[in-house]
Amino acid sequence: MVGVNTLREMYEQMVTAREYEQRLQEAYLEGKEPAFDISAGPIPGELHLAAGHEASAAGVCAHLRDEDTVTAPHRPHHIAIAKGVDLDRMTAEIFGRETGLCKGKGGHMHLFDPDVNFACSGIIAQGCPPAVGAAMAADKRNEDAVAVAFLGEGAVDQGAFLESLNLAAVQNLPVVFVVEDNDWAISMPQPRITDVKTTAQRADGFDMPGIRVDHDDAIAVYEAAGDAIGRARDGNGPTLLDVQVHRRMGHFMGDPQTYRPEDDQERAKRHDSIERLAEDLREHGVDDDELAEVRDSAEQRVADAIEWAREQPEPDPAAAHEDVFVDEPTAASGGDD
Amino acid sequence: MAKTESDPGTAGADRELTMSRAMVDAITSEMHADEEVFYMGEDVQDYGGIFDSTQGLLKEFDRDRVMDVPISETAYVGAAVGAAQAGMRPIAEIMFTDFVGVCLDQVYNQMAKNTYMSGSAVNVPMVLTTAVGGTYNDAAQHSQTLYGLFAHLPGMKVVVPSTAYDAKGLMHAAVRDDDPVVYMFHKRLMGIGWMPAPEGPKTPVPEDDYTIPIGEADVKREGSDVTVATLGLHVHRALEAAEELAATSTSRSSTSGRWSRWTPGLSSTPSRRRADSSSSTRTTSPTASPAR
Repeated sequence: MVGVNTLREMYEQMVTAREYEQRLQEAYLEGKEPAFDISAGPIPGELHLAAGHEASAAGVCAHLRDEDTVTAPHRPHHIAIAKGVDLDRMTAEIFGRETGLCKGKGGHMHLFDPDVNFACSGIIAQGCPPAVGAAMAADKRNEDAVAVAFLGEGAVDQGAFLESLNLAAVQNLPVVFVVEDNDWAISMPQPRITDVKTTAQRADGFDMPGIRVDHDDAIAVYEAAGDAIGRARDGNGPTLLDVQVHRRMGHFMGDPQTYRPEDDQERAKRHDSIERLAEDLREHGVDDDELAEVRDSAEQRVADAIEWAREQPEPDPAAAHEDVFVDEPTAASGGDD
Repeated sequence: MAKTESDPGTAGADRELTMSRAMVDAITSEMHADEEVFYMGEDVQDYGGIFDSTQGLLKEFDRDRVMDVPISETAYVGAAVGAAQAGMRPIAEIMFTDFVGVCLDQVYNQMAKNTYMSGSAVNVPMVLTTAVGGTYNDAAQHSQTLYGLFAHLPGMKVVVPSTAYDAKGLMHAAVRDDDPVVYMFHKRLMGIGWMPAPEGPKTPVPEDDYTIPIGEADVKREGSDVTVATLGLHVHRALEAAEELAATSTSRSSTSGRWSRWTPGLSSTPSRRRADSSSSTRTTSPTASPAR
């Protein structure tokens, strides 16, 4: 049974993530209106926001420690926040600044924070094999660390995902695969592209537990993830979690969503996991003032991170040539004769 | 990474090894020295590697360190990336280099790019071993060398041994390197029972560890007229050709060549660095900048 303190922390992560996406959306549009130019404004490039996905990240990451590895896909902010990635440096990275997590070279789809073992891959499903590798490392070192690979439901037909399930299963590795099912692979609804009712069923083919969490209910995610992560930590192998979430925004900023029925967008807004968790907290005796305090503090934290990021320097263009290697090869020095 | 060739010592310098034995010699030594080093690939346990790349390893180490994996290159090459980012030093093998097509994303988008894209927040100290080359009628899906494909990936270091001496020193250097290294061994040079090697690759190999700096070519034959920069099997073919030409030359000036143990990923411009331009009549220079 989940305690009220854990619920409050999850609520805090979730409202922080929601606030973060809303403020980033505003910052992103600076310089991009009225004509949308993807390279303009303080956040050039693509931006995939995760409003509506918060419950899965908060419910899963509530069980994780710093030494546990998480890989996230191209829509990573809510997961990074729940994993405890440094919010200031992450924001600076999204703004492409020198003091960002990756010196401005990764951007919002490629966030790396080794302090909490968080990494991304912007390529669909390709974060799964490295998560399996992190689990393999823990296994070889006889540590009880686990790895969690997050991906979207549009990624489940990729070989990288299915191959990773197999490798994790055959080697009994401590991995949890978390599929965030928001019903849409950009513009393609899942029934059009895959003939399995739920991704959880895929687990059967690998003889591993596959758990479907039908609503983006943070408590249900927390409980399912607790079982899965506990099983991994105890050496009992991988689990596939399939969590229903809702996409409250476009696939990326600028997505007109003309393919999407209006009632589907309305439905996504009605299913608000944050509201649902607030209700649960009230039932646990947390009053509205306390909830408002959590929200205020999250708003402040996000505002501070964005303000800090805006003040950070742009990278020196010469730095574009750095970091190709950590150990510069002999020949790159230009020769010695 | 060793910047200069380390002293190989003299112990066992008179023993001659095939290239595969020298390669396994280095892997064995690195695995004894560092528990974070492990080898995974298809048929690397009981079989010992289809091209003898892990022959005998299972006698020294348990199956957790020499791992057979599913025929699933994306999964296990990607797992090597993840384990390397976690600080281990995995060696992963793609049986034929032609198979890289099925896992190219893990190779070029993850293994090669994560260091750069993370601003060096993470690095990927892994080795990708792979057999290259034809000469035995295996046709186009099993015979390519693909040196250039790997060498053009920013962030990747690529080494190609052409002798047993090179094979050992480059393997030590590759495992110890903090960046991803692709170690491409030519099947015809390995000394496999069912694929006889030419005379050249079997060389004396010191027993002690030594490293060969990644990014430098080796001069295999001194001369004054022609520079030939080549690698792998063709080092031996070129040496053979040079001998033949020297014997049949009617001119006083001998035809000669410079032969390289080339590490093309670094595109170390072996001929430019090493050539004596005053006497070279022709210089074949590989791509002139590091892969970046």
